[in-house]
Amino acid sequence: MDPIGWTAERIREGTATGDIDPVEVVERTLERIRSRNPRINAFLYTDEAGALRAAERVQERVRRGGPPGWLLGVPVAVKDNQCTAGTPTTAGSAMLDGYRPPYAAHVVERIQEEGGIIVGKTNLDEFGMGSSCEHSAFGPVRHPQDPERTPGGSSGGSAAAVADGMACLATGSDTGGSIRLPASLCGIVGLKPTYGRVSRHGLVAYASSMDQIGPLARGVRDAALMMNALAGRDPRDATSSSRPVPDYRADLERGVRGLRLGLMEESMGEGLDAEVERAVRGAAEALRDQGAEVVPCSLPHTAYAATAYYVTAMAEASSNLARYDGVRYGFRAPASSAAALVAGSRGRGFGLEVKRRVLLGAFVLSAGYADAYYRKAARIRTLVRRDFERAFATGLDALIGPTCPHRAIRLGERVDDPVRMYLEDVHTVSANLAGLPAVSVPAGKAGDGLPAGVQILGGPFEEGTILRIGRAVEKARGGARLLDGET
Amino acid sequence: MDIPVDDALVERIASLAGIEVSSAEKDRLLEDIRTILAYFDRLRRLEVDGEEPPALEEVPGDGLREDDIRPSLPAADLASQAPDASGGFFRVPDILEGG
Repeated sequence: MDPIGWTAERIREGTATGDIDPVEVVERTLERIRSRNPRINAFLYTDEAGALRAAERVQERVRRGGPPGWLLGVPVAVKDNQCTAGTPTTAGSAMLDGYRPPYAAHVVERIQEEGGIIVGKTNLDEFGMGSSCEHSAFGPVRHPQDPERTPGGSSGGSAAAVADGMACLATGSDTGGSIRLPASLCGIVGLKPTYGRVSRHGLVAYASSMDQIGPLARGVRDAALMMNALAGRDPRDATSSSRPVPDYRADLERGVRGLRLGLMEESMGEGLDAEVERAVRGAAEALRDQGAEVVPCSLPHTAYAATAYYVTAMAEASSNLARYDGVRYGFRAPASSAAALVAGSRGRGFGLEVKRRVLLGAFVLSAGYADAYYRKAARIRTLVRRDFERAFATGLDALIGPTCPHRAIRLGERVDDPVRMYLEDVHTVSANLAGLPAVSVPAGKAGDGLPAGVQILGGPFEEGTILRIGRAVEKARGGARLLDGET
Repeated sequence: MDIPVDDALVERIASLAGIEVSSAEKDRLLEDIRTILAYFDRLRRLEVDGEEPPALEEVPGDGLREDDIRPSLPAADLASQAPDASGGFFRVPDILEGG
């Protein structure tokens, strides 16, 4: 048996019936990580002993006839900005090198309760700040199909792990596109849920008014399955919603006949790579062929969204990252006074991109500038949200457009040009500003084999609708992604 | 907004942010901050008079929980992650000048 490349649904069902041995699945997955990870650097930490123990517990659970669990026996990778109790959690930063949290993130607990097997922690841009996984203190992640390219970021380790069969599923976090962007560039599915749908308890905070955790998977059905495990109220995150969690797989095969979809006009113009445009228009055509109505849709403030996003995110980051002081946990620089200890620890513990963002965040919040920057960005955020409300009020069920302006870029191509790097997120940040769910689904491949994704945005808590539309795109392309070499 | 992006500005915000910046880094950050603030300038092109920031009521969560007493994480577990701790306290250099 070779479970590498099997869907989570298949592993779950086979494990529940006793046809699949979770220990074998985990052993094979760990073997895959050992052989592939040195080249890709998707994992920062692999918990071999812990994963095998978890697999034995799943064996025992099946033997006892315990509840099946949404992720029974499924190997899962966790982005390294989500706390795992007693095992390293670095957030990609030298500041947290060696940190072992005394508690687990809500999503980590949920994965374990549902029978999922955590195999390791994945690489990311430091504290989630980046779009290419080149801003990790532990070296860049490389694209599984081309080691000279980036997988996108910041959840690039998670995306590369799933795309390359080193995990069946992975968690990501998305503040401005960090789940969807690498999903698009690696040719897999990535969902950013509605703000409030998944608890952030135990997530290393970046910009709290936008941070959200979500799944990465090779197919839409598996992404939906993982959402069943992750979503739900947790009193430890005051923004988490108590709205009931549906079975996100329930409507996936219903098709799109009768749905009204808006093609986001402002995202389809200047700066869009021709291959990406072809993929998005192809997806729109496929949806039309299956009975959806696709109409042009305008979101007039799109051009301001990325700027408003970066001002807001940097301001929140400067506040959130104040906790790293070299005193209570993490890195400490030697110093002779307390003030020098804090500044020195932060100066040496943070990487360049984090410093840029924290410094600019302090600036846009500072006396004399807060009105012109931070408060103005907050007002633009209102306008961006209203654009979406108007679009949905005209009877649209969802909006579609590109996830990323282009396909995977080369390592080093943009890393020294921060503004060019920020524009990677130009199509994804609006969903975060508005708190809306959005999913990236593979929509095409160019001659060189590099994938491009289509992004589908829905109204609040409409994850089921956008996954159903994503499933229709996926089916039109022949089903969920297979690993290279599989048929 | 015409903001003089110079060494003094970088030093001021580095001090606000509590981050020590080396002189080599300062040149690099100065250049980057100048570029990024030029990009932020596009905010000025949009009039937002009369608009308010998103209201707190729009946050989907259920807000505050009951103020009941719950167990905290054991202090020893938390202190175990500190770079320097002793007897349940975090140890730092002198806080008061000349102390």
